[in-house]
Amino acid sequence: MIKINELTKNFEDICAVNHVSITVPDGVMFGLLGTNGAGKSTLLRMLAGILEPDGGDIYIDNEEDHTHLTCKENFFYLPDSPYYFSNASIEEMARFYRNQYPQLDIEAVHYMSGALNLDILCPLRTFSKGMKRQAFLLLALSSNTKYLICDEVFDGLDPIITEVMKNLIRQEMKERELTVIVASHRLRDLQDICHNIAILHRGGILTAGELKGRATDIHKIQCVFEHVNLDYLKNLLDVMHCQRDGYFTTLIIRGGIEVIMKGIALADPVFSREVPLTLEETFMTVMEGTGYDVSKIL
Amino acid sequence: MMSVKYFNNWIKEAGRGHITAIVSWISFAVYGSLTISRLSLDTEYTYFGIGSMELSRICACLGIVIAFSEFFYLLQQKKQDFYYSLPVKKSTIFWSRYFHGMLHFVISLSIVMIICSIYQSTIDEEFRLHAVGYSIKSILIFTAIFLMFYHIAAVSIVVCGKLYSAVLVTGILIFYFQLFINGICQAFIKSYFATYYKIPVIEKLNIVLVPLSLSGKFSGTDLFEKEKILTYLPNTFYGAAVFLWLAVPFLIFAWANRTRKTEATGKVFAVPGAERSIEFLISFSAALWAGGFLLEVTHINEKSRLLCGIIVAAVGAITAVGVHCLFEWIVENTKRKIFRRKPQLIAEIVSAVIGGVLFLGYAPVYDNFFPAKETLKTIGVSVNGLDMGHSEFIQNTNEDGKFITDRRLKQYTFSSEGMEAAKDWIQDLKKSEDVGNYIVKTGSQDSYTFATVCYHMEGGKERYRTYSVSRRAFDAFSNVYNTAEYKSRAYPVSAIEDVNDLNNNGFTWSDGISQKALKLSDSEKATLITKYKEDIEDLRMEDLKGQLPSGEIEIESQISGRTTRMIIYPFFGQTCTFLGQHGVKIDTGLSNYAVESIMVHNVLHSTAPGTSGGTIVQIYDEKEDIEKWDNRLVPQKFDVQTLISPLDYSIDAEAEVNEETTNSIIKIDCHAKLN
Repeated sequence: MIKINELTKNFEDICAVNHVSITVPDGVMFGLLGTNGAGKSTLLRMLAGILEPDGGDIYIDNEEDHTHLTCKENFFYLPDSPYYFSNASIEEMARFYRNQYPQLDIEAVHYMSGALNLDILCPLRTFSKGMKRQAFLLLALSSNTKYLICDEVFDGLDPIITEVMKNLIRQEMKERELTVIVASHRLRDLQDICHNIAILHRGGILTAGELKGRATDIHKIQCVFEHVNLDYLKNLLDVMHCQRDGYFTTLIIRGGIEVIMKGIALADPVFSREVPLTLEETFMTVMEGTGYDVSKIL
Repeated sequence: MMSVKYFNNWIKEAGRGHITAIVSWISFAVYGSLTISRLSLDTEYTYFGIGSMELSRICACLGIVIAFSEFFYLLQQKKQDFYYSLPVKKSTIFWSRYFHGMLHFVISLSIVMIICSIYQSTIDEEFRLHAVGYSIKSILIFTAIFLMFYHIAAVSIVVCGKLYSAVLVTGILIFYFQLFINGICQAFIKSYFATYYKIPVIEKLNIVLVPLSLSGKFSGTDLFEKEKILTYLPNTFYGAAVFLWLAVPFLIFAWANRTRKTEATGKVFAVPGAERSIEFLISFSAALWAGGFLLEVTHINEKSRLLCGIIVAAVGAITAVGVHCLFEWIVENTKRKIFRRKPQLIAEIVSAVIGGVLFLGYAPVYDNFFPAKETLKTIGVSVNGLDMGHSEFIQNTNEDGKFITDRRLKQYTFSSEGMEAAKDWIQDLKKSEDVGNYIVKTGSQDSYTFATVCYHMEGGKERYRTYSVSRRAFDAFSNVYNTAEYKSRAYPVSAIEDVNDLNNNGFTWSDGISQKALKLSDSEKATLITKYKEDIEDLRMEDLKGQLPSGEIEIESQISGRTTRMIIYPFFGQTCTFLGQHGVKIDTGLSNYAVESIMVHNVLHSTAPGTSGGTIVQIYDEKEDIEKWDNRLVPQKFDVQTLISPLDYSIDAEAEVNEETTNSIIKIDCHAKLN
């Protein structure tokens, strides 16, 4: 488990991370969401031992010094633009990482490279951006570390490659208790893969944890009305969001489901049913009232 | 505790780019090949280790290049993130690279030294005796030189966050003191100190604070004799200086690497202390330089000392502020506050003003210096133009003639009656010339020549001064000249106590045109020397006025091969009589020889604005023309007193003389006598 307590980092007079406290349970995929400059990368670089915090603590499996070598052997940090030696191939990088992470499985590298159609002997500099990301992700997963820290790994990739990478991570998480912390500035990159999400804004944390759990009294109802009277519904129920698309009206309403369904029944719908909220919708509702411009991360 | 294996793995990792290996091994391969080919041609003046300037420079360059190659990752954000995210200590990465660079250098240097040593041993018997010692000393000395520059570059990289700033700081560390001493301090000293010749402390600082000069000195590149080079051991003083250049940067970068923050990469300076230090050094020296430059350009120091002080202080202060602000703008501080370091700015201004004013305030103390009797051990005096030919006089008058003065100061060092006479003469000189006044040095109408004095103090210190000498003071120097001590220095043969020492030496008479070996027995040689000594004893400086030597006797040592000159004037009665009795014609000149032709170069100097000088060349080969000239011409060899017995230096002549005994044509360079 990773426990971050009151972590602070200043770059001269700029506060990049401001008293952030997060707990990441083992075996989950934790998303760090925020706009550019929110402090995501700084937080991850501190977690990876690259930067030294100005204040606060990081505990990894209750170990106080997270930069201790035995502790760092449990981490693999994957930046948005990974570094590789000039002319190095996947094979060469794997051999290098093997010296640093003795548990790295070279065979797994070979296997996954084959599955992803990546030439293991070809210099990495000749790879496209997506291929490089895949190559480093498979190196990261093959290193068999307990924690994987990824910074904007899905940024700028096409949907197919993004999905391939997500599947790789899912598969690895299923096979062993891998904990992944992934930072992104787009909610859509994280919504279908992250169990927990923390939102960073101007160095501080707006919210963190299991968002779906927090939205238990918010429901999404899809209805068809012959003659819809939205003002009536809004007076009757706590309607947070309303969208009309042809015959369909989608309502996000706060309150108990039974009360909501009764209220809708009074409006005489042709058809009504509850549909699950997307993470984006959950996020929007949770963020409502914080003053945060949600459109920046959508 | 870090295991050796783990550290070795990182040393191997440091060699991934192979840049260090390539640079180091190729440099030494090329150096070794070229040195061996030179050794095959010459083993007398070719040195592969100690004494080799090329090797000294190669080591300096390799120190810098290898340091940049090894520690370049500290200037690369991406690479640094990559390394620091791995399960490895930051210090392991740093020190493994440090040792990697050093190992490649030491191994390649050692191999080249051993190969060259083996090769030279096979062809040079003299070297063979010193081969092991010389090679080991060479390896140690050049490793120290390498480390000096390696550490300088390493400290620059560690305290900087950008490549260009690291390169600049390396340059500053290598050249700062050289520029500061030669470009700034010397400008002030020359402008303010009227009696300045040289200051030994500054000369030494110019070596120990300048890594390039120090490395040359430390590796014996100023030695020329093979025996001295093969048995060379570095001077302790310079050894200590090298050690400090190794240790101080080492301690700084070891400390800075521990405190350096990763996020500092990309900034101009990664360590705030380094930024402040460099800012201070640059602002302070720029302010002083501006003051010195103003002095050199405007010569305001000649007008008023007070005005000069005020102007230099004002210019220094303005420059310090300007450079400080410029520096703040360059380092891109996030607050963009140019005056964020007010106390430092004030310190820079105050230091610059104090620095400039200190020179000014110290000038009278410097110029009026005269040692107390009990503190003075010996005194060296060199009067420019006395016992000196015209060409040497011109060279010595110019800046590049320091080596002549230095040589003469050693030659004319007095400790007894000469010293007392010289002290009296200098004190009279100081009183009459008022050496504290700037006008003295820059061309009083009364100035005739100058004298350089070296006061050798008890305790080994040396103080040098240059005084302007008027015609009257020059004539008054006869009090020194006429002492036996002075004459023993000016006419070394007169100082020989045991004439039997010259028994095996060859004596050759020369009238400036031809030479003749003197067939003298040992007793005759002794007689000649005795008579010459008596003539010198009677010699007075006043006697030399308008007199030219009749000839000279060269005494060549059979042991050392050194030649000692005995200048013979026509009024040396006893010597001339003796020589006459032994078949030497004393009063011969060009007119006594068969002159074939005379080529006369008449140098015309520009005398008025709008006119230009030039040279008229005339060749005379008619008998009447030659007769007109041959009585006027004097071999340049006998131009030995350019101030006391000057010649017409606007005329350079070359006489072609038919030497009948050898039936050959000889060319004699001459000047004309004054009309």
